[in-house]
Amino acid sequence: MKSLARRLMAAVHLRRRRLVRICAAALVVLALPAVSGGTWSGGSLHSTGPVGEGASASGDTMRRIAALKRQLAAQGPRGWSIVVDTYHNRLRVYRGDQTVRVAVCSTGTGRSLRDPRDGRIWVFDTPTGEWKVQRKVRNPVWVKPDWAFIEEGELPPNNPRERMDDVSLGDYGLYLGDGYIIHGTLFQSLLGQPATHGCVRLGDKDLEYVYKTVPVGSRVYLY
Amino acid sequence: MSISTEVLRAASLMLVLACGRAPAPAPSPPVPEPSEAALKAELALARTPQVYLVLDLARREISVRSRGREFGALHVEDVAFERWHPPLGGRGAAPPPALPLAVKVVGDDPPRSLEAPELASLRPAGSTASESPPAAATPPPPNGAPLLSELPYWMPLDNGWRLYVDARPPLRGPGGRWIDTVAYLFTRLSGRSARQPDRLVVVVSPADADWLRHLLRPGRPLLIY
Repeated sequence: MKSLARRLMAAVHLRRRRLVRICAAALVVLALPAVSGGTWSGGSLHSTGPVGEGASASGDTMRRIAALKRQLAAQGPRGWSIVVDTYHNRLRVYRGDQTVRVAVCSTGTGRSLRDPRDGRIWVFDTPTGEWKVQRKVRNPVWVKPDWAFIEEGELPPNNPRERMDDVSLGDYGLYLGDGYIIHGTLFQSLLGQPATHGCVRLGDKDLEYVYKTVPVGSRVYLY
Repeated sequence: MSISTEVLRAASLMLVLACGRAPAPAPSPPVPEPSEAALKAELALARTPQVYLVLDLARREISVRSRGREFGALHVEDVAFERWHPPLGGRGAAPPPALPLAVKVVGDDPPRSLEAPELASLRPAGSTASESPPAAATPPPPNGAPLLSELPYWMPLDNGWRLYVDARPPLRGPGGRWIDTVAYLFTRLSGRSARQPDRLVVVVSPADADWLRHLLRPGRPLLIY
């Protein structure tokens, strides 16, 4: 009996030691990557070469910097300009560098539509970059492109007259080129959201203000 | 001393203390202006009709500009430049890049939803004019915004780096090393390239990360100074 108990205890003790060894080995293996594994090394970036500190900025340097700042300011538009934020769906009218009006607008949804006839894909994005107001039109008529029909589950008509829509664009239109227009909307409740096929939609009063204030040739920045 | 004298003395003392000024707060250090090289780099971009981004390390912000005019800016919590060292590889801090640095975003547009109607389901134009409102009067679905990436995300730049955007700094220390190494081993085991480009880590708020993803259009210049 005693020898049996002794044997049992020895067996348990052996298993425990083996278990401890296995666990220790597993811990070492698991911890190895943390100790000698790969790593990203680096640090915070800070601005270099601050201007005007101590004797590092000479008079010549300051003059050149002032000249560069003037040149930079001269690149900006003088007179009226429009800036459209396509993320926050806001349109700003500038006179010089002063904001004179901020309007809620709608810009492109970014959705895509595939034409089942030929696989062509339209992407309804508002373009970015610098554009110009090419012309302004009262009571603009929309010549509906193919996607306007495909989207509604209709085949595009061959008769051009069937594409004319004198309602959807509202009372005024500022044409930017390539089919993009700043125009009105029947869906005022969707202003502030990305809801268009690429154009910029404004509410009635804001549209009237922009149309009557911003002249043809003014720069339009979209981002 | 009489009580009135004591009261007078106490009142005088209180008056003096009340008139005393609190120490003026220490003035915040001036934010460095862009260097001559940075202004030259921006002038080169401003002479083109494009929208560009400026990562201003001194002001800790990314601004969107065109023709030298700033349209908006988002705050950056931290910016770091990092280099990958594989397991059992060399160590040593990555040298900071030379600034100013002008790069371009190379990545893809945000993922989009695609509508693809079937040809058989298209009916002739105007066939339902009497039954339903015309197309222009039908409001578009309100939730048509493009799907933006979850955090963290990264965008390749044309100088071979990656712009890594997250709402918190990457995990450092043994825990971070463990995660990075295990991820690296999985990459090797799956047969993908083990090359880890240098990365520019930008930490912003979740809302700004969403906006930044919208701004990181393919081909858009990014000026860092």
